[in-house]
Amino acid sequence: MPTFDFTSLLWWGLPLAAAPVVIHLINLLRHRVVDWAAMEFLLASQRKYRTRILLKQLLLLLLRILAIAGLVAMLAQPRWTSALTSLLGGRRTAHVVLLDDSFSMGETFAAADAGGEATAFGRGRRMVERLLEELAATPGRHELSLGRFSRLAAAATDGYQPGSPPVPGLAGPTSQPPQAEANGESSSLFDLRSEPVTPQNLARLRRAVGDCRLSAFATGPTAAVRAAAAVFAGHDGGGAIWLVTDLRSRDWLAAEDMVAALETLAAAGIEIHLVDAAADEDEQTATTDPLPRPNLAVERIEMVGGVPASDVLLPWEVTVRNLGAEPVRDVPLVIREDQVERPGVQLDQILPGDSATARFESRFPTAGGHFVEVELPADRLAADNRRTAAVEVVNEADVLIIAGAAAPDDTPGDAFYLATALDPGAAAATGLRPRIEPSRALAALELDQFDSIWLVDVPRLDATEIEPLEDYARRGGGVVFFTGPATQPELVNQTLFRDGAGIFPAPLAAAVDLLTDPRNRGSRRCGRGPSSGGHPAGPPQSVSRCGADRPLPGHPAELPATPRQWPAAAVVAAEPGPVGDRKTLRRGAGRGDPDHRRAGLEQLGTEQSQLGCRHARTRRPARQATAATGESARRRAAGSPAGPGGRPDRC
Amino acid sequence: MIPASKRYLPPEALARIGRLELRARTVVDGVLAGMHKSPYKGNSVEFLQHREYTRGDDLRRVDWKVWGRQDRLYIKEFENETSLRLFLLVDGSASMDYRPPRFGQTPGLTKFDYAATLAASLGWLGLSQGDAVGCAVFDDRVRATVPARTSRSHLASIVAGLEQPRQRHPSDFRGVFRSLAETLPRRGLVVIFSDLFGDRAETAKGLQLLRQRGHDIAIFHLLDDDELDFPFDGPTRFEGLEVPEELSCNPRALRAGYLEAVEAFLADIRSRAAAARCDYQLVRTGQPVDAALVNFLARRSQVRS
Repeated sequence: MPTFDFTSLLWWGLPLAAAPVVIHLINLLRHRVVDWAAMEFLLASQRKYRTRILLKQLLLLLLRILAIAGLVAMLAQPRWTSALTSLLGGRRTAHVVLLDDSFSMGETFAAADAGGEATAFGRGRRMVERLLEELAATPGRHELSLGRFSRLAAAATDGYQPGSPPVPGLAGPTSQPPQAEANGESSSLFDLRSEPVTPQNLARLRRAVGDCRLSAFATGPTAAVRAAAAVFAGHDGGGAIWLVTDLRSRDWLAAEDMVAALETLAAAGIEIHLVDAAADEDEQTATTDPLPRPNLAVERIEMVGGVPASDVLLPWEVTVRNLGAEPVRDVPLVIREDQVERPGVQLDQILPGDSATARFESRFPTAGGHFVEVELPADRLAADNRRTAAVEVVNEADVLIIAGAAAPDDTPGDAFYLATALDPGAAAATGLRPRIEPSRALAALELDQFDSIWLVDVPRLDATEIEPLEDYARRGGGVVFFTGPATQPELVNQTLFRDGAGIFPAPLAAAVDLLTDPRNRGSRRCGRGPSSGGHPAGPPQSVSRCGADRPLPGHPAELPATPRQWPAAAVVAAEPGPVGDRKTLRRGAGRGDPDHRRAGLEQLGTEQSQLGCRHARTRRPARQATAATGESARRRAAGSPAGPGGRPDRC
Repeated sequence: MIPASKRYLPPEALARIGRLELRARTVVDGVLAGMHKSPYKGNSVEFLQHREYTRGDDLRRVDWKVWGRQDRLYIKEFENETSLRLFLLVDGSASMDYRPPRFGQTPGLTKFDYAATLAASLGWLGLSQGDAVGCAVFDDRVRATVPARTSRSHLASIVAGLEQPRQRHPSDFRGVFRSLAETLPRRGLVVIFSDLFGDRAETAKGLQLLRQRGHDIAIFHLLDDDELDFPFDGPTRFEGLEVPEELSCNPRALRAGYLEAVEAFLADIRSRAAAARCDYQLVRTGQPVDAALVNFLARRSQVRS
């Protein structure tokens, strides 16, 4: 059964084959009338040759119909696909072009090639276009399928729906493609699927190739090779795979699965062609290379600590990795805040394969969404030279401090000093707005309006106060417990820990004295006394004042073997040891990375307050931030102010 | 004097006929002395033959020498050239009305028009030479008859007879020929102008009747070029002029069979005419009238010589 290059011409032209019949019918109605004298002879002829005449006329009509149909079929350019026509040169060959669109293909070459392409991806596209031209000029029927690594790899992940934005393959190289792909529904994953390559549609195929764009993913070829196997399934002609890639070692040195897939295809008679899109690059000389040979990449940009509030200094860290083979020195980093360039930073030296980190601070005067962008100078691979971080800045972050029992001598309690530490005043803006309330406020207030809740040496909480607190923590709120003299371990274990079912991260043991009054070295306790100058912790530098050999008051805790997953809850407590050596007990990571929080808490402990837990807005990886933003958006839509969009991360 | 109607008397035909003599193949009673054989053996310089005396013969022609020898009465017959008695018989049936279709052009002559032209020409020639010329138009019977006269002004009567309205019935040759055989007073040359579309056997019988009466018969078999060549193309519906039949066909498909039938018809007619000892001439209506006459007169002169 032939196929046709111009199917539309065939369908429009075939009805013309009925023209002879129509003309015959019209002629039956359009006779010329002749008054004839010699009817005798005419009738004799008609009687004698009636049958022969009828057969001749029918045959002539049939020949005319077939002639028109044959002419139309010839103009539609049929292509025969049977075994016989394969012998006669009508073989159908399926070509599957797998185009590497990983971001490494964006590597810029020293000089553009003869075709004006300066990147491996551009060269790859041009190679594919050249292949199209050659196939169009080659006898036989050629069908082309074009797929990109990123798109085909995305189909290998679970839950991928054709048509949705591609997601980087979460599964490893050994993952199996989903059932949908195995059933042949992967046709939509290819940019072109089994398209005949003819001179007539060459322009359209070229446009499809030209529409391919570089991705931001580092996708290998394994999933693409597996997807290509589906194209050849059921194909009765020849086949060839064209892998257009830059042959990165990370993709090819450990690619047993891909090799196995290629071997399977080769065993089935499929030709395998490897097209090096980055070929001849090594021959470029450095003298002609306007771009530095090394390849630097901005690996990380993250806000480390600080409260993302307006007019508050936010500390950032940016890490740059040297992916080249030569050390680099004096690497300038361009920093932009909301697309406005500001003074950047410079990295002194980065050894090959190593990374370097720089710190900078930014300040945003207004609340809302802001961006911080770090950019490297142009090098061979531009895709990794820039990274952007988004930060949601608030006017102020409300903090609820639940004060414990008041001091008997009307001196400011722990909560006061904590609030002072969190918000020293206008001279040292922190973005925090603490509010001190008694414990009953847990039941009375809408807790979601607070970014975090700090409980300072609260002797006890009843059920009406514990329940909203735990609900708040489940919704993502940060809760900090400060233990102190008023803390009753047994009660904490019974009401807050509840054998691991409660919000408290760990059961408490007996109380110990951690901090002594340097003026009373015999005292085991830095309690409230005139010699302590007020708060037992004193000003932020109270660690040294209290002495170096006594730890802060607190309660040693026993961490459960397997902490449950709670939204971040931390207990600043200390075990006996050198001053300054404190342990932060925390449990759960919630939606964030506990490592970041731990680092923030350590920073808090060493920099500002011995007792406080500093709010640290950490920068999650891009994908988690995205998810968190979505979570923030949903909370905002629900009227809940919680979430990273409006509140600092939970400690 | 040539009559005013030039329709049947093309000058070109007359000019060419004028150079030839009209010769009769058999002897015909006539009143004018001429170059024709006379069927009546009169006083001539050439002795022809003896014939036994019958009641009514002239006693002056008895060969008394033969009576003296054989005691039987015989009379002498001599060649005597007399003027020809010419009778023009024109077929006026419906089939003679065929006119070749000339779409968008001036209509041509029908076969009857051609026949009448030819007949009138021949009649005028005969009248010019002192022959007695008569005329009749027939279809299934004789319709218009013009008796034979020798006056040159008789041509007008002949033309008038030819121009009379016709009934256009199908031809009955046998009946017409039998009727003529009975009514023609004297033997002469009967010239038939017809397409002879009819029963050929009956036609042949009619010719035999005329021959038996001693008439010399000349047949102008008139057929149109279309009837002989059948050049039609394209879807055509043929409607019979004499028969109530019609046929829608592709003429090209039937042409071969038609020509085959026409050829058989012509061969049959020729053979029957030859069997009846008739002077037969096939005339295409596309052929000039004078050419047809010249051919006829030339053939007739060869017969005499």
